Amino acid sequence: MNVDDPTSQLRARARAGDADAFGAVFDACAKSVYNHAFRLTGNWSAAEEVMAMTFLEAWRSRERIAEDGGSLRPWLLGIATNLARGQRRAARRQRNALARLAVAGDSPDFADDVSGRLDDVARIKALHRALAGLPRPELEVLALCVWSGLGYAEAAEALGIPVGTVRSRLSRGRAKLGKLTERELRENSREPPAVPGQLTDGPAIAGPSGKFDASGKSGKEARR
Amino acid sequence: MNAEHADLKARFAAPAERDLPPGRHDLYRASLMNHMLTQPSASKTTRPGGGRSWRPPARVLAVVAAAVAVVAGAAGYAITAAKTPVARPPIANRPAASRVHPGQATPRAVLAAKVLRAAAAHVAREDVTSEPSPGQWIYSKTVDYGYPGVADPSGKGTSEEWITFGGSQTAYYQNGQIVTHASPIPPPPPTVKPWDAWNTDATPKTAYDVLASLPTEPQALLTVIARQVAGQNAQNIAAGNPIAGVAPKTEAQREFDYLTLILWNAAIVGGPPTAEAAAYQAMAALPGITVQQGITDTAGGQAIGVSDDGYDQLLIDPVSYQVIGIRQLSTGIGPMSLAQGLASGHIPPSVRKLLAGLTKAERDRLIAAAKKQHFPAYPPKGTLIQEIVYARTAKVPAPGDR
Repeated sequence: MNVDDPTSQLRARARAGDADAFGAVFDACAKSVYNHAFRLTGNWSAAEEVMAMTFLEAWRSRERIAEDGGSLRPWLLGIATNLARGQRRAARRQRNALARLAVAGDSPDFADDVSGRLDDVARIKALHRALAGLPRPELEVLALCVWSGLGYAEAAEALGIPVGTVRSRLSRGRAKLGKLTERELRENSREPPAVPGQLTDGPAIAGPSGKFDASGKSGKEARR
Repeated sequence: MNAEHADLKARFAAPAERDLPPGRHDLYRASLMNHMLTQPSASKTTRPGGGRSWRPPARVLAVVAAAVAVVAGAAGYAITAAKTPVARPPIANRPAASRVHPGQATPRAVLAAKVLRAAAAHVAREDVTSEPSPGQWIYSKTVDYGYPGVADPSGKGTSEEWITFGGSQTAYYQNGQIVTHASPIPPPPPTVKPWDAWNTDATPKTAYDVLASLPTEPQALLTVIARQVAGQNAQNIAAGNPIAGVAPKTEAQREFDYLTLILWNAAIVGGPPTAEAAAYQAMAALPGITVQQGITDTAGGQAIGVSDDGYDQLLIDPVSYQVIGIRQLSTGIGPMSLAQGLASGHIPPSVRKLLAGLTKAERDRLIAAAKKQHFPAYPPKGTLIQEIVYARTAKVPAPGDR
C-alpha cells in the first residue's frame, strides 16, 4: 500500500478535468500501475504501454470517478487490469504487421537495472506458469490484493465487483493453489528449450544457470 | 490483511516494484499533459457524457513511443520494422523501388490491378445486407501461426472468440466455461462521426462504419485515407528495416496499410460491398502493389495475398474475394537482440550511454556473456513468420453459440 498516495485529495479536481491534478495523480500512481501491468503481462514493454493507456483512458473517463472515496489508485489499477486483460486479444484482433501500432514487443530496456528486469520477467513468468490453473478473474484479484497490496474493498472498486466476490475469488484461488510450494515454483521456472531462430538475451544478462536460485534469480529468459 | 492473504503473499511473492526506465516517467507525463491540454475540459463541454476525447489510444501511444525512442533512446534497441526506430542507417533511405521482394510474390502491377479489380467487381455484386446492431454477437474461429521463437504466439493454433459488433464485449472459453469481458473503452455516442469513432477504438462496427463513409471513387477515397495517414506518426507506421535493406514506407504504401487495417478490422462481418469494392479499386490504383496467388493459408484454404512490399500480405479469398486474413513473411534479416548487438559491437549511442552507467565489471560481464551466446539464424527470406486467418465467422444469438 502506498501510504504517500495523495490522490484522495485530488479526486474532485481530477473528476472536473483539472490537468494539473491529473499530472499529480500520474506522479503518484504511474509506478504502481506500471508494476501492476507488468505482473499481469509479464512484459516490461507491454507494461509501459498499458500504463500509458491507463492514464489516457482515465482522463477520457474521468467523469466516472465517484465524488466520494479515497485513493484513485484502485480505480487506475482497475483500468490497467482491463487493459492488460484485453491487451493481447486486442492486439491479436488488430494485429496488423502493416500498421504496427498494436503489437507489444519484448524489446529490452537497457537501463542500469536491465539484469534485474530480466530476472523479474523470468520470475513473473514462472509465477504465471505456477498459477496457470487459476482462472483469470482469480489471478486478477490475487494480483491486486497480494501483489499490489489493495484491500478487499479497494480491489472490489477496481474490478467493479462486490467485496464478497473479491474474498471468494481469493479464497478459491488459494484453495486451488493448494499444496503448490516454492520448490514446485522453482521447478516450474525452467524455461522450455530454445527453438531455432529464437533470439535470446538472457544469458548475456543474467548468467548461465538457467534456473532460479533461492533468491528467485533466473539465468535465462526466452525472448519472443 | 488476514492469514490467507499473508500466506499467498509469502508463497507467490512477485518481484519488487521498479521505477519506469530513466527519463520515461517525465516523457509519459509530458505526453499525458499534452493530450489533456489539447482536449476539451470536462467542465466546459456540453456534450452528453462529455469531455471525452476521441483520439485513438493506439495513435496516442505511438506518439508517446516515438517520443520515448527519440528522446530517451532506450525504448527499443531491436532494429525491426515492427518497432520504432532508434537510428536509421543510410541504407534505409533507398527508394522503395530498390527494395527486395520474396521470390514468390508477383511484383507486376498489372496483375495486381487486374486481381483487385476482379475482386472489386465481384464484391460489388453482393447483396447489401443491413449493418448489424452494436449488440450483435459474432462468433469467429481463427487459425494462426507464428514462427517459433520469432512470432508470439508460436506454432499453429486455433481459437474461438465471440465479440459484439460494437466491440463492447468479448467472450471466450476458459477451462470449459465461457468468460465474458466488457471493453474498458466506452462505446461512442451515436452522434460521433465514423472517423472519430474508429480513431477511438478499432471494432468491427467502427471499421464497418468508416468503410461505409468512404467515397466510392478511388482517388477521392485515397484522398480521405491520405488525410488520416497524415495525422499519424510516420515513423511508427513505416519504420523500415535498415538491416534487411527495407526502406521506410512510401506515402502510397502507408495508404495501402491504413486501408488494409480498416478492411481487416471489418473482416469479421465483411464491410459494405460497395465500400469494399471501392477499397479494392483504390488499392489497384496505388503504385507498387503486388499479388501472390495460390497461397495455401494456415487454415488449409486458398488465398490471394495482396501486399505493398511483398512481406506483409492481406489475404483474400480467391472465390468470394472477402478479406480472410493477414500474414507476414520474413525479410531474411530479423530484429537484432540486445545480446547480439553487444556481441557484435553494434551499440547505438543511446545504449552506450546507458552502459556507461554500469560499473566496468558489470559492463564487461554483459559483453563477455553476449559473446559466448549462440545466435540462431533468422528464418530465410520469404518464410512465413506469422499469419492469422478466419476459418469461420457467424452472427450468433449469444456467446458460446456457434
